Amino acid sequence: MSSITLKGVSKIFEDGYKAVDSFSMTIPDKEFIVLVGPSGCGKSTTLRMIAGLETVSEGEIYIADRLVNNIQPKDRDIAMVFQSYALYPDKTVYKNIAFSLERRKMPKNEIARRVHEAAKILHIEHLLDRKPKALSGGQRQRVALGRAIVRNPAVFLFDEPLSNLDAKLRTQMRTEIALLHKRLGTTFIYVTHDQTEAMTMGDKIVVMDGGVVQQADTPENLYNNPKNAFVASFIGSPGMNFLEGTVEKGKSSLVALIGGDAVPTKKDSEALRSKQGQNVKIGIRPEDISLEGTVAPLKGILKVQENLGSEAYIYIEYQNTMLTAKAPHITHKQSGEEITFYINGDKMHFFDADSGENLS
Amino acid sequence: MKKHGSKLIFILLLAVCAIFLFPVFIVVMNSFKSKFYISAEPFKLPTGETFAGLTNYIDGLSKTGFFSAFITSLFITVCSVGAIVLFTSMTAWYITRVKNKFTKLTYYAFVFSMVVPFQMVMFTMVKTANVLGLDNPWGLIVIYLGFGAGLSVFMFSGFVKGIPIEIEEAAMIDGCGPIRTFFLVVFPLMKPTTITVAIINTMWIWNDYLLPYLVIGSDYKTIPIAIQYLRGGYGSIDMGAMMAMLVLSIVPVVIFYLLCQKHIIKGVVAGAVKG
Repeated sequence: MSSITLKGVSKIFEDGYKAVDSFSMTIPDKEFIVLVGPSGCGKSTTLRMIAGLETVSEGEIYIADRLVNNIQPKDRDIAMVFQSYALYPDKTVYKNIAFSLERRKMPKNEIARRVHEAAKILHIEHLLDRKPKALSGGQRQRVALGRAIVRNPAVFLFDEPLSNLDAKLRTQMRTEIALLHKRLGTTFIYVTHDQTEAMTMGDKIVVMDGGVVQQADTPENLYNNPKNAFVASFIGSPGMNFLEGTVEKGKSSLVALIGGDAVPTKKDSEALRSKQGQNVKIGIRPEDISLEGTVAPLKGILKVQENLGSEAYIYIEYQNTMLTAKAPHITHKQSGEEITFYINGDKMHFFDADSGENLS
Repeated sequence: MKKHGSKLIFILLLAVCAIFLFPVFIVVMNSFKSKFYISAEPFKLPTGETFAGLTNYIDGLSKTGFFSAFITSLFITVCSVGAIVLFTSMTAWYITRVKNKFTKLTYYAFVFSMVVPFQMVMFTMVKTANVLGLDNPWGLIVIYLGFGAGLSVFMFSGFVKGIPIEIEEAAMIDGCGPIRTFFLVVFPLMKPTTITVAIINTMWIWNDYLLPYLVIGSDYKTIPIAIQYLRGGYGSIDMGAMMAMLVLSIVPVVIFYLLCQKHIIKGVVAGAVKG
């Protein structure tokens, strides 16, 4: 059992800056949790507190039901992979991987067996005699992973491990880490600022901003039911479009009024009804704007089209806002021309204009 | 144009090299000359008549007690340099990684100690050494540690700043406490600086005359003191023996330097982190 529980954990630095504010959460055994958020949101600090590299200002951290607030990193039964790999430059790959086992006074043949096993999993057996400077970025990252898995720890911590890799390698390693999690069946806590990584890897994603947890949920729920405008804007690529508007009662359902245009929606809730006639923030995912449809055609100016091969992004200026639409292919229209588009009203999200809370 | 420039620099460096090596050459050359010709014809190469073979060396070795002086010098130098490297590297690591007013003050104290000339503290220091019972070879090592610490801490601190902290954090997670982190991870990385610090301190401690003369001069002779004893009364100096002993005293430092030189490799840390 290696569940992790954080109870009201806060981090206040010496200069008074509150990096993490009352973080509470229980991470079940064997789960893959991703902490995601913009720079300075407190995700790395949270991870470092779990690792024991940062002291906890307030609250309690439990690893496998053991309070670890005052326990040294080496005694927490964790392994960590750093963004900068943090390999020991003067030691060979073998020595780098074996280092933690040597510290635990494991018999030599057992160390050799484990190092080779880890190297085999990560396909770095042929690199064991090299030193880190003779390795490529991807190979170094594998060694860093090897150093973590060889220990068989209760928890794996990853601090933006793929940030220094190029795009192609990043995608490849992403899959490998996900596979590694399945293979090892250990609790993984993964920090990243890249929402794509978060969405593709995590069982559960914790979105943070300003040291506060905004929403902790499955990738699907984060995408489809964001708790507030921040989560809605952070999750998804390209990001959600936002428009100012109001909600009014229509004939059979509620209607979103954007400028002079009306878009009917099936979305309905107490909160939404209470905001009738008041300004709200309307969020629309790019895939919910299409160039073909029947209900409520809207007119905008075509600005740019990006062809990605399998799909295309169409940028449309509408009521002084740039909207991004995801279409199967680009249109034949030229930029600057007027274009008709349709918003799927049922997929719209409504947020409070001040607090940003989701109303629908 | 560029090739032309590099040739010019090469010639310039060659000239500087010749100027620096000339005194050494003169000493070596004169050590093979009969002592009466040294002051008369210092710049002439030894010829059949003036060539003295190894006479000066044999003379010098018997007159100075060179071997016992060599042992004393070796003991003091090796222990002092060892102590300097060990303690200043640890100090530098601590004051660089632990940031507070005390460590900041300590750092500036070390840096300040570099600019205080020895002669300024000479007499008070000797008196203090006397009172504290440091007027023996072991005590001298402690004094050398003090005099060598300023520059060494300064150099090590500069290097520690360049070591990514993640490496130390990784060591902490891998099972190291602070002492193991230092000796198993940080200290091996410091190798280039360690060697530089060792060379610099070896040279001045090995060659130092004044400090050992003042502190332990009456009981123990280091090589420079032993050579100084070749100056007899009334200005009579056995130049031949002196030159020979000077040559012998240079040899160990030169060998040490040549051995260490190949270990000074830049960018040992390269490859630890991204890039």
